[in-house]
Amino acid sequence: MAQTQTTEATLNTSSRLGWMIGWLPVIRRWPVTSIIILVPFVIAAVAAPLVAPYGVNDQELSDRLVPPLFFGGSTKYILGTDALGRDMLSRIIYGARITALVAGVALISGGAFGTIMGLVSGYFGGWVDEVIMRIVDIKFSLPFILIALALTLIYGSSLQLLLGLLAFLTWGGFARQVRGEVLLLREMDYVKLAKVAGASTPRILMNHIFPGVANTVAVVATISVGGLILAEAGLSFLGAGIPPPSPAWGSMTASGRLYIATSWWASVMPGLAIALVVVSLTLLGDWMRDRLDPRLRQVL
Amino acid sequence: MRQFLIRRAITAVVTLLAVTVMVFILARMTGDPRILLLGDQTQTSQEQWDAWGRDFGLDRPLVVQYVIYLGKLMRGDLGDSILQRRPVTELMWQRMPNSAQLAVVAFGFSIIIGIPLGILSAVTRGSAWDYLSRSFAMFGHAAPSFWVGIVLIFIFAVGITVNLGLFEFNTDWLPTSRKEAGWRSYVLPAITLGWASAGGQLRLMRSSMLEVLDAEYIKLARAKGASRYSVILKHAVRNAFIAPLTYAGLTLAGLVTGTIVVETVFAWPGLGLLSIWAINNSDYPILQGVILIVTFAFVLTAFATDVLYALLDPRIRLQ
Repeated sequence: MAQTQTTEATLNTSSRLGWMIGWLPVIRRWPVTSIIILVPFVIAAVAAPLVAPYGVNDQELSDRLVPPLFFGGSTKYILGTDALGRDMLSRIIYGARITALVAGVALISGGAFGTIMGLVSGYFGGWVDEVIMRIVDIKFSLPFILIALALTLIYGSSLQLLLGLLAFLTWGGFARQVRGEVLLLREMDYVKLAKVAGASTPRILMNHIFPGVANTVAVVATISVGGLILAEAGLSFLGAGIPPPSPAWGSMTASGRLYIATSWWASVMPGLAIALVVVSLTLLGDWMRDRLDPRLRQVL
Repeated sequence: MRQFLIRRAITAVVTLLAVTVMVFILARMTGDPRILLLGDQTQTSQEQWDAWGRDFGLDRPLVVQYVIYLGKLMRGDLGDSILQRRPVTELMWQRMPNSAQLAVVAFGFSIIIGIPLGILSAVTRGSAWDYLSRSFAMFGHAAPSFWVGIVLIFIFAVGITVNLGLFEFNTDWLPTSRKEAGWRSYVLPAITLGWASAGGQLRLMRSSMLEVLDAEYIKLARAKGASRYSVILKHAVRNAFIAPLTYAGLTLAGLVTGTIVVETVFAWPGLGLLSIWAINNSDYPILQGVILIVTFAFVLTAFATDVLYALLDPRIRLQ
């Protein structure tokens, strides 16, 4: 709550850095950092073959572990090459595709399921609510990584399994937040009137209640997408993601780890890509929350 | 209060039961346990096969099998490892202290760093300190822990040679793994594991402090002439501490899961590394044991936190 006055408060600070930051109104108003990082990320994901200087699996065995530009390398391989002589930059660009695809599909499916669960739970209340919310509680106390590893052990690693797991990881947050909103909305007069007018339950939920929670859904989606990317990266790192040679950032970091003593870039670069994308998504999420739904500040 | 406790306890028990059901179903999905036992011997008579089935209770309905399974769990019998042919509990007891130590050290790190920085950040809101603290929190939250571990290994274990003109030094100050024992081996894994939760503590302490600092009683304390430090430390921090406290319980539980990745990076011989070994060798009983233990630890910590929370803050009890 107190933070709503931040803009004024930051102006009269003593330190120089704070003063400079406070005076850049553009940075205050728009999530500039996020835009700077996310725009190239999206371009890389959409147009990987056009942007990448080399193919994903193009190998040049004579150019193994070439250091990046400014660290002894040349402009031929700006981010260096990996142990098989593949261009790091190109693989990171193609990896953006995987990250975007996996996070996007998991977010949409998990988000849709969670939102429906939240709508149902909040609107009907009673034992339905009780059951759904207990399931969400249980979901939150499961050790996600271990369950994911167990399922990978049983079924083998595949894209479908990964998407399913990540969707499962993300639905609970949607269900909880949406339910909380619906509890308030269903007491509104316009909802009661719609009921009196004879609108069917699905119609009330979709046309009268859902628009009221749409902002919340958007905010929860932006805030949880970072966690999804991290989970995907963690699973890929442990070998439970999409199998190699596909350039998932997590598995690139894992395979580069072996050369850490001599060639740091092979694992540092893909990990840095993950960190930067997640930082900017988190910043974007905070910004959206403040814009669309400041009440959520207390919860998320 | 009693009603709150009972309700909360029931939820905890239901959660634990649900997890056992899930693990049981997963165990059945891995296939017929007889096949796992047979190993390389492909020859077996039908009578032998059926006899095993009776021994394992596979001829009974699934529900009965589950009850038997649950009974064994209650007695602390988690079955035997397929490859190592030793009880899973024994294998886990060997590894547990290592994971627990790492989690506790990381937890200490996250509190010692997160809480004071959170207070500092709230008190100096809008300043460079605030900005730096929040960046620290943000980055800890966003950087994948395995990557942080690798970068830390690169800087502090492999070492970077720094040349300052007059003298140069190498930053290879810390060991990478448990083999070189001593407190120094804890530094890098604990920071890797604890950074994200330190960031969480920081954010929570900050927002909770900001809220408290706005309250009337703080203004009163200031008005009556209490010193700045007294107002912050005695009046504000005590009340702002409740939110981070709840989070602290969940953090500790989360750290237990987090160790899986961090142990892999640092070759730390704990439960995480054990479960990765189990995955790579398709040793399901071990994996199942680790899942149960970790969930159990999580549910218990969450329960204990809620109880503590209710004791500290009467408003919670009345809901």
